[in-house]
Amino acid sequence: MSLVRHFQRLFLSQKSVGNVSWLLHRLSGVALAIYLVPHFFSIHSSQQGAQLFDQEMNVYTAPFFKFAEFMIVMTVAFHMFNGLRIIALDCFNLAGHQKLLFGLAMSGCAAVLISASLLFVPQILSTTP
Amino acid sequence: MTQTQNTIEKRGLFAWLMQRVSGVFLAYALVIHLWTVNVVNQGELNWQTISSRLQDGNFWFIYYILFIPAVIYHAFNGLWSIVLDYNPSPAKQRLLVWLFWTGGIGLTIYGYIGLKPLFGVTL
Repeated sequence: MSLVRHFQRLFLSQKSVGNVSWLLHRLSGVALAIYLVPHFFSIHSSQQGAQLFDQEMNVYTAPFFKFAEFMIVMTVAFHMFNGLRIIALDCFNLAGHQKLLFGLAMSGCAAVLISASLLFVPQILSTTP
Repeated sequence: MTQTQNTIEKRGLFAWLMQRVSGVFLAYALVIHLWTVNVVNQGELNWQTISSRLQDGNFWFIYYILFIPAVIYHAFNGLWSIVLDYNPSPAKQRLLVWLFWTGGIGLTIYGYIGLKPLFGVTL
């Protein structure tokens, strides 16, 4: 299925909860899979010793990286709660409770959004890393 | 035929099941990872803090032995599922299976090597 059809499915066809969450699950999964590579690269700097590793870790305390981390945490949260929703649907025959499950998944995301905001927003706004 | 039956038919029961098993494990492992990195070690994410945590008992060793292959398997298995939606030819499928397995195993080894110094392993 082409990307154009993905978007047609989202914007032109019936906007069901399933279609929107299906596309968002796929996009968040691809984003996280791509993110894995630079994440592994940054940890690999441990091979160059403690001093260079600490220098690299220090770079990630800048507000831009804190904002990026915030986005990654939210992407993980959405992918995780929506993934658990899909597993619950598949394994426990809950097709008749789609909206309830979606509501629970989104409530989980909202809880993470609130708590992660309390953690990250002060760090993003901080001028001294 | 339901959506789930369609997916199992297309991808095989093992890949479908393992995506869910690895997903449930990652829901647990990623919460621990993100909580530890962003809350427990907040503002102290450096060599000293990370290496002393990793070398404190066997928990983190077992955790990362499982976490790295689980996250890579889940990512590549998910990407493979997307690839199959585009109905590639058998030749392209063979090439991509080879690329995904090589990339996945390579990235797993690369991840282990990256953590080795932090575990104090000098081999």
